[in-house]
Amino acid sequence: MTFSIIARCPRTGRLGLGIATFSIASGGRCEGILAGVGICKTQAFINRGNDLLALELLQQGHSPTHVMQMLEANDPEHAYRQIAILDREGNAAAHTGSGTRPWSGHKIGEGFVAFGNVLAGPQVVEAIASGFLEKPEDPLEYRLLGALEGARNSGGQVGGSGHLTERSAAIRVDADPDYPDIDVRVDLHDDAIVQLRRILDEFKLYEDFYRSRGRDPSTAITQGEFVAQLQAKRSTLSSRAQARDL
Amino acid sequence: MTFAIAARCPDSGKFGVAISTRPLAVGSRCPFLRPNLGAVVTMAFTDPRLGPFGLRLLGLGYSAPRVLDEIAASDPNIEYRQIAVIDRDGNAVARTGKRNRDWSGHFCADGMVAMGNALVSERTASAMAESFRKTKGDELEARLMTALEAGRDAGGQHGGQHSAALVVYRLQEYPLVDLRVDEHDEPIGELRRIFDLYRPQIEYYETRPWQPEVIGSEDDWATRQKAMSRP
Repeated sequence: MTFSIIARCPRTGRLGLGIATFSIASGGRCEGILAGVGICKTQAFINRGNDLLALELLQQGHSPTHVMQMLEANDPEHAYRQIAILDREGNAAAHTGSGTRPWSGHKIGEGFVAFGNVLAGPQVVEAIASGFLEKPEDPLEYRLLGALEGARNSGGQVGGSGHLTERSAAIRVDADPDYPDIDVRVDLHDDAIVQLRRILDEFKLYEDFYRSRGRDPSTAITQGEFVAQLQAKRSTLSSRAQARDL
Repeated sequence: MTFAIAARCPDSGKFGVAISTRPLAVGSRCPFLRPNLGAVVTMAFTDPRLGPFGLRLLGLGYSAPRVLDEIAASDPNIEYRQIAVIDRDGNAVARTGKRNRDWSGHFCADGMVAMGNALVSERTASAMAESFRKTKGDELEARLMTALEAGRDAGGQHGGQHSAALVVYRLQEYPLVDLRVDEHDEPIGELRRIFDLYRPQIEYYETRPWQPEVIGSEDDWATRQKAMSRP
């Protein structure tokens, strides 16, 4: 019971993943992303061994299609998995097994895969794709968030007991193989995607501050000074807005 | 402005880290672990790249003290960092750079490091070490969660905490427990809430891939989950 997107930014080559589900802490099960190599995300009746194995195989040079064949050969329960694979150039492969729970399916687009299971219907996967494509000028993390919001707004997950809210969600964007550019998670909340947007927006305010603090600590300002600067900016913006309204 | 506890369980072979700080999403930048190999925590003026660097050195076979020495020799800003390394033999070392703000420091014991910077007092770190010692025999993830709470209760850090994380690896190459609270007014309390709900599911997730037809009663499970998870 999940809806997800994996994607590559055509401008920067960064790789990213967005996920939302009824289950707890789905962001902690997304180890299959490596900048400069690719992404593999297995879900439904998840086989945790798949994603890191797929990265190894992509790294050796196998195509996503061939990697998918090898994952199948390695897994007697392949029919129960839903898997999406993307390489560093944006070539994709996807598999929605017959044993996954309805409605389940995927859509491969230019440099992305939209996929999900236990969904309200195929319109949800369509909405992941159209949400992703809506604002191509946005940075990858916001396009992924748009994809998740689109899926939610089109019905999201529906199981035997009815509609299932998103209780965990995550967005991850990697440029460097050692650590993520963006890695924000909501592990348990009644409205996880709303929270995810809030946290992503907040993180973006601090993104450069955290990075330069680590790279060049001798010139870093304190967190307190940075927060004061942010608040000064906010009040300048809001007093300008008030002046416009007068 | 962070406090953390990292440890290895000699009985199960697990490695784990529990950590909390004022900045957002501490779990994305500070704890780095590899099963059957070790743990590296990089914090203070955090350079997340030191984590994978430390893991690669452990992978080459260096012991934890040597890994820490190499990181220190390589990083011109080492005095701004606070770093812990634990290896597969349980050697646990830490380095608190001179530029860290009061109170900052670390306590190392066999297979454990408790440390922090910009803390209200050394009690935050020593309370974590004490708590960990007292819970010997419990599961590592539970010991780390309780120790983090002890650190908070002993005063935490100046300005309070806004994010927290708990991550534990067992034998598999993916984490056994990986829980984060990326932005919250009481992140450790929230981490505890999530941990208590998640714990019964750990074995479910370990079993599920290999018996999908048996675990088909997911909707009943989902109904039980809904009833349990009021924030």
